[in-house]
Order: sequence, then structure tokens, then C-alpha cells
Amino acid sequence: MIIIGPLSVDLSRFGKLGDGLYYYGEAAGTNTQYAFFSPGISIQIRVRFTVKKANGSTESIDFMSGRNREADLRLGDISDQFLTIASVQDPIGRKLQRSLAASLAASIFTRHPDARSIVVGIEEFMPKPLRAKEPYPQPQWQQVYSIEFSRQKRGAAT
Amino acid sequence: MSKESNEKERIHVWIKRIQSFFLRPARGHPFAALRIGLCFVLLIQAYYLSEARHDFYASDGILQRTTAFELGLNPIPNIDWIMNAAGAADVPPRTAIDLFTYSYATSLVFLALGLFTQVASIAAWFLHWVLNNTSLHTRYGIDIYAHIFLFYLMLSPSGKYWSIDAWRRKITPLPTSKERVILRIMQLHLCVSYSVTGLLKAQGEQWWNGELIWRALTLPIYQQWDMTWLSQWPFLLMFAGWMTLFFEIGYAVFIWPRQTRWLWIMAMLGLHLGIAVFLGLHLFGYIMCVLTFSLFALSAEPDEFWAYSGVRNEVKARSLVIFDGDCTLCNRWVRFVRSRDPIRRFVFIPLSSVQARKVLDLFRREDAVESSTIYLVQDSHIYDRSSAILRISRWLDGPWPALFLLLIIPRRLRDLVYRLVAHYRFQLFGVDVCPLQADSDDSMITEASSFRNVVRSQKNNPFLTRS
Repeated sequence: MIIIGPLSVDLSRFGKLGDGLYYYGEAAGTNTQYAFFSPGISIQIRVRFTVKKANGSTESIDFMSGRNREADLRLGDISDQFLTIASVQDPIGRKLQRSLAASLAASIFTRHPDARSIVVGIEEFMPKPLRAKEPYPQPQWQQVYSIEFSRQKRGAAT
Repeated sequence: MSKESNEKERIHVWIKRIQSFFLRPARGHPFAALRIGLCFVLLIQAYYLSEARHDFYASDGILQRTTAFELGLNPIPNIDWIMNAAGAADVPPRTAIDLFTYSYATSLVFLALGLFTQVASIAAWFLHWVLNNTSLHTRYGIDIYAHIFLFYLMLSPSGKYWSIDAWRRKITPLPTSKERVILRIMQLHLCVSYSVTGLLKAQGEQWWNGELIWRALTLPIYQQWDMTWLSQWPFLLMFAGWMTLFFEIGYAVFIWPRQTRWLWIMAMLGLHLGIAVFLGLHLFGYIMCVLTFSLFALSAEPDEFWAYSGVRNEVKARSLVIFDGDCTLCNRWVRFVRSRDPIRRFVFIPLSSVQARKVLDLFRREDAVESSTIYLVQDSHIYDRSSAILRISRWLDGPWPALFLLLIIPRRLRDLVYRLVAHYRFQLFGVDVCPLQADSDDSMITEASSFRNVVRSQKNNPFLTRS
């Protein structure tokens, strides 16, 4: 079982036995593939919110709350879901992207009851290559997707 | 014919080696180290996540459950599934999350202390699994490894070592094959995970040309220090990448031989501490250090004394105490111990007796004998002075086992007090003419002697050789 996970064996081919082995693997953690930092690192994704308040002011919020490192790493994992979704074919990919952005916006609406609307911006960061030919432009965060959600009277976002 | 018999002999040797690898009795101390280390790191993690627990685990948290399911995964068990299955779907989600997270932290505390270890290990593994599944899109390396090794801890007898359970029940665990089998499975699992991750990394060009280490050090999410100066020294980054691949892929092979084991242990500890410091993956780095240290750096080999099964059961319940029979204080102390040792765990021999000399000779202590020294022979070890007295107190009736905790005081300091009392014992308490008869029990000494001879003659026996 230890090597079934890394070998990505399709257990569903083995009927009930395969189902049993799959659930054992889930319980024991043997379904893991151990693909940490492999085969490489591409870009980083971050999520930023622009909150427009009832009094007309705006506030920019970084999704990584800075609460502590452990929490931020997990929020980074959620941001990376946008990268995963990017490989999904439209229209499903577009629907998933909107659904994920809506979920994140809802949590910001909860924290900011005075928010009228929230713009969810997805930005990517491409690091400077190690052997970049100088002069090389300083890497910047580039916005690749944004969507606005407004609070309705009943509290739902559109 | 001779070729055939040679072949059979070779197969026989290999079967014996495999048997020895998987079934040779082992001590369970690595499990205890793993139990304590793993729980310690997971408790720190639980503390860090406690404030954000509703954000991560609530169905209306940051990643709403419906969206999480749309992203493609609906694993069970998770908190919602359990609450529905338990007919408690109307319990407020926040209350359910508090219930699960506090229960999880409590189970980790109990497991770390080794209190109700078996139940605590099952609870910790299950609750960790539930919480992981509930917030599946936020998990990373630490959660994956914690889940695997909490599962193994549940199957292992980790509570028999370095635990309150062992202390309460006065367990003196014997090395068994069960310990060896579970330890080998854990070790093999760790080897597979390292080598697989190394081989997967090796398929990426970034690991060979230094690009990956560079990106990891300069991506905002991992950047802890300004390491951009390294772009002037790309070969350093390439070398770091190669070394990572070399040590990870080679882990499954070179962690086993004694000649290379410590090099690999040190390399992996260095690698993970580097990940912790330079990439800010602190808890992941620490948990990987705990795994390699507990499973490979700590010896699970039984002491020779225990390895010989013919002796161990006889010796199990008894320990030998060698004392100065001419000293009033010592004789009073022996009476004190005897009156609080209802199962006669301790066998007493005066230092001046022939038996005592034989035992001390076995432990090569004969030349260094001082009349003021008390010796305790227990679990194949010999302890003297304050160490002997405090270890004996552990097994006495009444409140005396609490004195065992004084062992945390540095030995030199303890022995200083012991020597002071010993020096003035005759002036303070007077001289006795050995009013106590030595326990007329030579069997331990005879067995110990024969055991040593057996060990010497069995050096090539795979069940007695150390790995």
C-alpha cells in the first residue's frame, strides 16, 4: 500500500477490493503522491479585495491576513486554487473561478458589514529568472482576473 | 550436489536475514519519541490555527463548503458528515467546530503525555483526519505526514515507553517482534516518501539548474530574507538542488547502513531546518526532523541482556541492589525499601559478598568499587549512588515514586549530596556488623553470567547482531 499512492494506481479498476484499498489508503494516508515542489515552481497567485463602503470610502485588503505564518500558508493554498482552476476548460473553469471568488468575497462581507461592494482581484507574480539577462524589469504583481460583488438588500451578494 | 546445497544455504541465509530485519525483537523508544515530537509540533500548529478555526473549518468560512465541493472533492469523514450521521445536524456549526478542535487538542495533550495513550492515539488520528478533510484545500506537507504517522502511532505500543501510563502501571516493556514490524513499516514508508519525492523532483529541469531553489527563495510567499545576492553565485543554488536530489533519492538506500546513516540523518535534519528557516515552513520542517530523528537516529536495538529470551523473564520482575552491609544508614534504608516492596522486586546483596563481586565484575565495575556506593542492577544496566536510590524509589509503595523525578537534576549535583551524606554516615549513624542476611538468590547472577557467555558465542546470530 505504501507504494500504491506514489504509483497513482487506479484502484477503481479492482471493484470492491479497490474501493476497500482506496478507503484504507485514505485512512492511513498511503494515497499520497509526495509531489512537493515537483517538478518545479511556476508563479505565485494572490488575492486582493477592494472594499467599497457605504460612506464612499474604499479599503484594500490582502487575503493573506498576516495573522500568523501557519494561517497565511493555508490562505496561500486557497489562493492557489485559482491556478488549479486555470487548467479547467471553459465554461466550467469560468464558473468555478466565479464561485471561488464569490466564496472569498462572502467572507469579507461578513467581516465588513458596512461594505457595499467588493472587487476580488486575482494577481500573479512571475519571479525574475536566475539567469535573467540584465537589464531585467523588476517583477511585479499583475492582475489577471477581477470580479465585483455587491451586497443586496437581504444581505446576499450578486 | 554441493552447488545445490550452497544454493540452499544461501537462500536459508537470506530468509534468516529477512526474518531478522522484520522480526528481530526491538524496543519501542522510537515510537515514544515520535509520539512526543509529533504531538508537540501539532499542538503548536493547533495553537496557531485556533484563532482562525471557524474561517477554515466552518461551512460558511472562507472557502464555503459548496464551493469546496465544486472544486472537486467531497471526502469523508468531515465535520458536516459526522454531525449529520450523529443526528446532530441542528447543532450550530461554530459549536461543532469548537467541539472538534478542542477535542483534537485535548487528545494531542493526552497522547504527548502518554495518558490513556491508546484511546488518545485513536482520537488524535481520527480527529486530525476529520479536520483535514473538512478543510482539504488548505492542507500541505505537514498535514499529510502527520496523518500518516498518527495512523501508525495508533497501531504501535508507544504508550509503553516514556509515558504516564507506563509509570502508573510500572511497566517494564520487553522488546518484541511487534515493535520491530511496526517500526520497519514506518521506516520503509518514510524511505518511500523521500525517494519518490526526490525522483519526482529530478524530472523537473528547475531542480538541476538551480532555478527552483532561486524561485523558492524569492517568491513572496516563501521569502524570509533577502537572498537575491545568490544570483551572483548560481552554482551554489545548483549545488543545493543537486544535494537535495542526492540525499532524498538516496535516503531509501543509505539511511540503513551504519556507515552512512548518520551522514543522511544530519543531511536531512539540515535540509529541513533550512526549509524552516529560509522558506518559513517552520512546522513542516520540524515535523520532518522529528520523523527522521525518531525513526532512524534513536536505537531500537534491545540491550543484550534482554535479547536473550531465556533470561529476560526471570530478570523482568527483579532488580539487584548492592549495598554497604557495614553501614547502619544503609541497613536501615534496605529495611525501609523491603517494607515498601511487597512483590519482592529487589534482591539485596552486601557489597562485601562474593556474589556482589561477581556481578560488579560482569559490569566491569570491580576495580572502581567504593564501600559507600549503592548499586542497582536493572534492565541490564548498572546504576550507582543517587541514580540507584532514585530509580529504586520509583517502585516503592506510597508517595516515594515521586522522588524519581529528581533524576532530572544533573547527576554530578545529585551525587555531590550523596557523597556528602556517605562521607559522614558512620559519624552520624554508626557502624553495623551486617545484621541483614543477603538474599539467598544466586539465580540472577548465574543467569547473567551464562547469558553473557551465550551472547559471546552467538555473535553471528542475526537475532543478536545490531543493525
